[in-house]
Amino acid sequence: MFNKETSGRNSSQETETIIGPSVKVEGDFVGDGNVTVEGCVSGTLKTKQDLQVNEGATIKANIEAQNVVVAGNIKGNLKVSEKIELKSSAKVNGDIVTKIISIEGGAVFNGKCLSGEEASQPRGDRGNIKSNKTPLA
Amino acid sequence: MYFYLYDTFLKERKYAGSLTKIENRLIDLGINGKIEKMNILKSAKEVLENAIKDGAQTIVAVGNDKTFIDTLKIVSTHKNIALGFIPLVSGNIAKILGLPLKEAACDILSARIIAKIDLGKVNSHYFFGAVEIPAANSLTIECDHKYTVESTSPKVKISIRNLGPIFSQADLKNSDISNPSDGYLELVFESGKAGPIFKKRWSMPSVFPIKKATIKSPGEPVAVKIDNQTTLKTPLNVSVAAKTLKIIVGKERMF
Repeated sequence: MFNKETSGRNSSQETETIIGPSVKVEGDFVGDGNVTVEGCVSGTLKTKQDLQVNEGATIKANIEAQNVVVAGNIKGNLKVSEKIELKSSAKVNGDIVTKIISIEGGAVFNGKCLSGEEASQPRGDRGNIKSNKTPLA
Repeated sequence: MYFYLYDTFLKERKYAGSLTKIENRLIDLGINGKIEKMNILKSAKEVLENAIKDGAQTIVAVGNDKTFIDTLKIVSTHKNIALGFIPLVSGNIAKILGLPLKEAACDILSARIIAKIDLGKVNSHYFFGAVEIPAANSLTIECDHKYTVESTSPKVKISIRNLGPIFSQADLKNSDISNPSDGYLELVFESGKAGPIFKKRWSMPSVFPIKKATIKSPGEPVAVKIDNQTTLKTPLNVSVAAKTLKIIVGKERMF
């Protein structure tokens, strides 16, 4: 999915972040490009693009991303605008809001999940359906 | 108006022939200008500042990689001055900028393809390649005032790259060069991996695109090398100076 060349630049010149296995990040990480995590992150993690959480990664943070692939550990809530995939080694403790979810056999997920087109809309738009029925007298 | 700064070592006889060919080629191309031959009694800073005051809009360093960097440090403090380079000795900078050696570089100068590139800034020093911290195991880097990064490995090399480790690495590949015009620096952590003692092994590096960083060490200050030339000690503030420098480059450049 992501180019593992060491420069951190993929072919389309987006800014790519790689958090390697022996690095610890604390605080509010906000990025514009793809993010790959193999180490530890605590706090919040937001990106406009895609997030890949590899096996061995530990994230204690709330996450926002466009697409997420999880093979590691996450403790926190996830807000994914498009698709989240939980691989067989994934362990997620937290709530997920996404358009599409895919869970492989063996993945551990403890939390609530809201999925589908409606789930990814802002809360105010959900349930605002006009009724043609007249109220009961 | 062009101004040519010749490094001190070019006084040696072996360079006389090359310099004559270069000067003739510059005349043929119509880009000849004032030439200043440096010696130990002259200050490059004074010479260049006088040249800029007199109206020079393009400063050309003639010599080697060190000549280029020393000239860059002075030119970078002036806006709208273009920096050119005629390398007489092969080095990483000529390769990165896509410049051939000696008189062939004059044609590149004449073509005048200008790239606006970022520079890194450490306290009040500008850097072109990278800031490197070889013994970095106890350091914490605070990035963009939002998050901190530290290594959990006992053996780690940290660098903050603008263009890349161009002075500490001999054989550069395209993947070693970062984009110097994107408005970001790259914070790179390279951690040691367990293995045979005689073989250097590094695990996958961590890369963070940043605009600002503060390098702090909890105990004794740690030495930090800037472009493999200047040494400063922590704590240090690093930031990107976006599109600060105009450089004349060749089509074969590595970025």
